[in-house]
Amino acid sequence: MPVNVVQTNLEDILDFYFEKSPAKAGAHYLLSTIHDGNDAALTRMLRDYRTDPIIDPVEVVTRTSIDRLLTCYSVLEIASIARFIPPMTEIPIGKDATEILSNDRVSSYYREFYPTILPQLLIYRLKSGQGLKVSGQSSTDNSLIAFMSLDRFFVESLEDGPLLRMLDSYTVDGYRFRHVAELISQPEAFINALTEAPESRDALAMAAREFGQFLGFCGDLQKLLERIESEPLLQSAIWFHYGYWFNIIGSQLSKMLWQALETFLSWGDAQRKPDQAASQILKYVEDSKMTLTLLTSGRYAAPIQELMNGQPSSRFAG
Amino acid sequence: MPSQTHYVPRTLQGSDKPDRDVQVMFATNPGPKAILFIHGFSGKAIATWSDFHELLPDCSACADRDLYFYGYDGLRAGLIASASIFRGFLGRVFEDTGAFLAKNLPSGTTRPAGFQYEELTIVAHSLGAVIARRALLDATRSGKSWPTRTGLILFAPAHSGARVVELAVEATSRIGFLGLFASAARFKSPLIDELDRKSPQLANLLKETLESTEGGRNPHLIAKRVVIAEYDEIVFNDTFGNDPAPESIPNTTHTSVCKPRSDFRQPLVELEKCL
Repeated sequence: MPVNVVQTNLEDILDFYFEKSPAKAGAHYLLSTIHDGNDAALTRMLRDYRTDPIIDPVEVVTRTSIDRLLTCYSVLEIASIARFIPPMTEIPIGKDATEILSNDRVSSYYREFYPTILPQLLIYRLKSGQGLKVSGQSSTDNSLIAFMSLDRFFVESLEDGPLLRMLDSYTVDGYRFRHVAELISQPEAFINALTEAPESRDALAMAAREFGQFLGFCGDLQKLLERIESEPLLQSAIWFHYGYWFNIIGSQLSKMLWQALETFLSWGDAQRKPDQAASQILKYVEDSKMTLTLLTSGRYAAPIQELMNGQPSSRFAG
Repeated sequence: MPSQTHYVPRTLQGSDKPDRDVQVMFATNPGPKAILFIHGFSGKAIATWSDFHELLPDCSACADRDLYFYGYDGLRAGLIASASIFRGFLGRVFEDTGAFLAKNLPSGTTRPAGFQYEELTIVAHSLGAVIARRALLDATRSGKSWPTRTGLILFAPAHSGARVVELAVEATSRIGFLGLFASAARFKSPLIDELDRKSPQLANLLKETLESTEGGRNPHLIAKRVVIAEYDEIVFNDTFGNDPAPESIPNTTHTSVCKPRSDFRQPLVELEKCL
């Protein structure tokens, strides 16, 4: 690929995932704290929230910015696998990433407390000068562009919305996911929540809208993964980008969505085309369940997981 | 090994409508032609078109065309207002191309001095077809010359009327069957009246289009191709003015008719026939 094209690809990725994202602040915080040698602050900031919850608003903001930085690094690793950007070892953000991801405290954060595969692959790439890569190129450019579009939708429409937080067991403005499921059981209330004017939407109405959008996103992701079956490492890497949702809490997420989906089956006859409604509902529910089953089955984890498990323990250890 | 034909989709620079809702894939080796997609009711510029943005770069006639995905509030904005904003956008693209591109091209990429779009194919779905028609008609009637450089390809156009509430419910949720339960919705939108089969806005659109195309004038106001779904519960498929008779894609619905996939390329084939 011409140099200017891969360079532009890199700039496009950095523009969205770094420059216009909290990731930039996350990188600044980590680099300055590392340079200051303030290990205590880093240890405190990057602690395991299960043993010591993150409540302080400033900490919440900083942790979010660090998570977004890891998201940025994950996308850069995916783009590197697809040879969509210049070699990470040759660009400035690669140098910063090496310093940040090599730090022991940061390393514990993405390896132990919140295991995230793609930053582990990236630091291996940065340190060894080698990394995973696709076997071909022609079709992966378009697949990468499709992934970028899909992920942009995820970031802009779902990532910070109430639905995913509810699926992650949080309460949002007094609502939990069971309230969304209850709403789905009432067709009229559910439909009116969907068409609520933006200014009067509460967290429940927003989650109701996001319910169908998230399942649509899952369907699009599954189709994308199927299209890149011939590039299993890229396929696996893209799946791991959403590993928190489909891997770490995959069974919980699938179970909750599955139960909510089945609620549709109890909807009565539609006033218009009642004969079609039952079959369309059944198809939607079955298709959505199949998608969730595939995404949470772990099959897409295998190519990278097996590679990591099959290597000497030091290889991906950073 | 084919090289990458388009850059990653980018949102136009600018915090105001419509730029913040428009995405573009600039060609890496650009020619003077472009394609613009304008969606129906769904709020996202690219989502409506499913895999178009992934499949188009493989289409040889598209490889050197910039691809625009125009977004707007298809649920709550009025028809005339949306058409006016779209007309303004097209005016900038055609009349102030240099400044427009300078602001939005990826850094390090340029276009030749005096670069102009010689041809912009507008691909419109559903309500987007009505907005595009109104915008081109108004621009033509106000004496603008750039509309002659456009061409219209319409998928399931709503220019003969639409059941707005059903579509609104489907579009907001991406749950296809919900439209069948739309009678429960309390949804309010000016479009419910504006896209009624007997609405004055649609009647005027037809009347003015017929006037403006009389005697073979302004052929750009006549669609090059109209593609409809076999099973459309949303729009009425009457032929509009002097448009060609519609081509139906089997086994499609109002929403799936404009969504090509790797295993269902018909919508893309229909577009390619006009390029």
